[in-house]
Amino acid sequence: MSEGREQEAAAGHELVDHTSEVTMRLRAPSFPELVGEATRAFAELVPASLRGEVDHDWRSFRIQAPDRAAGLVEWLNELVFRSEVDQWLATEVDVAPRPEGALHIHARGVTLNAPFVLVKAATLHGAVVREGRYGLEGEVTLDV
Amino acid sequence: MTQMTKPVSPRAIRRVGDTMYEISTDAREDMRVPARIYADETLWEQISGDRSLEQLMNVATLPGVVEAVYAMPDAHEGYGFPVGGVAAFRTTDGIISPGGVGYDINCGVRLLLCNRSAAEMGDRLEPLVHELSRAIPSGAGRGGKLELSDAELDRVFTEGCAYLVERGMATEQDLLHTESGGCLPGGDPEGVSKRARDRGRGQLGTMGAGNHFVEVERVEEIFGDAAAAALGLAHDQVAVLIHTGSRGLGHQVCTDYVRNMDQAMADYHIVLPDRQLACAPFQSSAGQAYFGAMSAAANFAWCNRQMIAHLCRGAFQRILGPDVELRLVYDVAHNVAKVEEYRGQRVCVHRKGATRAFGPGNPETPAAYQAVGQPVFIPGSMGTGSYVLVGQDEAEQLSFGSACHGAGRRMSRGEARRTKPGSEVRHELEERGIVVSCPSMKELAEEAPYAYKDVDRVVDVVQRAGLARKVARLAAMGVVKG
Repeated sequence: MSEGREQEAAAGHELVDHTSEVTMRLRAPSFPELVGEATRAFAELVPASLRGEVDHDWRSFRIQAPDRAAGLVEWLNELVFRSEVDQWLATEVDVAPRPEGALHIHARGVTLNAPFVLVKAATLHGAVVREGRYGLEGEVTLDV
Repeated sequence: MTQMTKPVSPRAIRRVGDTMYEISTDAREDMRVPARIYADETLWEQISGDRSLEQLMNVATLPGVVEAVYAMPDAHEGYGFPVGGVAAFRTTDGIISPGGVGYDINCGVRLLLCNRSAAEMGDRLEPLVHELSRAIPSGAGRGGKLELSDAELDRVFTEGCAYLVERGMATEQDLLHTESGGCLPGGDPEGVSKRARDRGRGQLGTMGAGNHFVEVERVEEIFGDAAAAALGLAHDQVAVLIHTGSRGLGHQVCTDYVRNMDQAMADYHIVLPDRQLACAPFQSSAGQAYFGAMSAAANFAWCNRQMIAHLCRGAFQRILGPDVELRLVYDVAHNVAKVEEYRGQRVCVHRKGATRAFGPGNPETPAAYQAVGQPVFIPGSMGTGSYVLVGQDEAEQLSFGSACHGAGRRMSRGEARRTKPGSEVRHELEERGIVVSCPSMKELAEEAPYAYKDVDRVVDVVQRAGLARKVARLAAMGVVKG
């Protein structure tokens, strides 16, 4: 396997469900890519039947948090809010870190036919971002 | 600030009597009080099989915690507090924690009794279940019958169910039979963010998804004649059980204040074993801000269940005739923080997945139930039955006046889905004469009876422990899911 392909394999996620919550386990070479992986993992929770038309417009978000784990939780809570109230699901993101822990995120995605209400919130319970084999590993638990 | 925790040592655990296990403060240096778990051997095995005990011990480290922290027999792992957890903190120097209430603020249950028996229903059950599913907006976010302005939402936050009396959707009798009269004082509209309002604005009178439901029941068995008579329960009587909470509004209030408190933890010099336990001194501006916003969300939840009751009354009359009545027996919260007094001390009691269970004679118990105790409802899973109990005076000594809130999940949603498809679950329920209205086979599979603990066993422990006393068992006839 070439180094480039190994890098590709280093990004990914899995969703582990417990009695009343779902834990996202994420890995990616960098924090911006980890945020992208969290976006993909969240989108995976939304049933295909809810998905409407592709929305080509990019939306901008600024996330401010004291550390990377809290930033990941903050972004996921943004996705929870947008998918419930705006009926909009991010599927693609471009993440730019800003000074003092802020993130500038451009995102685009799809409209939803109905509000997505499965996820109540992303929690800080066990939320972590740490160094891993290929870069970073992250875990966030969602209350469902 | 957070610190890592270790698993509990078996040496720190001892069995105390028939229905309680105790983890002493020797188990961890940071525990301020012991952790007590109401369980028999089987439930203990289940509760100790996940991280519930570690989470309960984490709660025992929080500042101002008094006497002991408790896990009810339906406890399971949550985030921060375990679900089924009860803890009380001094109002003078203790904390308040959004994670100790949970995301679904004032999720709760109400029971309505119909002046018809199951035998009198004849062939009207299926049309009734369908009419209920049409009348009550269910899981898909908004779609409530009331789209409230900000000024109207503010009245819901401050007045609770009394606002719905004015709107013709509740009666004075309903208020008398709702915990706290359907209104926590101090609900603060200013503390509810625009995001929370946006999530909740169109959700009043909606059920929500997951384990929320409206069920048509029949009284299957009576255990205590005097208490049953006081509550108005008769054998074979039709009843309605409603389980829902504050929907997206409550979820967002919790999200907002966990974030705020997490960022302010260093200011309070509180070291947490789990970041989701973010908290603030009860008397601090942050603590009072959360208490006001939580009270507002709790009042929204009571209005939500009241509106659903109003919609149920309409559906029953359309199908069974205009003389059909649905009388509210009681409405209890099971995710809330309240200021109460025990042994001369004012404390903020956090009940997360636990029901208040006050005994006879408590001034908070409605006049009609003063002789028997406050009603407590323990829903089982679809098809396994639910229980009506009454609180016992001993509960004030044993659990800060608390009992369990349900059967408690024992299986993850994924595991339940993999066990049996929703179509098979529906078929099995229908074979037992239970009419099911659920838009999603996936959700039906997730909420199957085997995904939950044995409700009979849970209730048996609650009774043997002296927390609450069995009055009646209800059997589901019809289930409406979100």
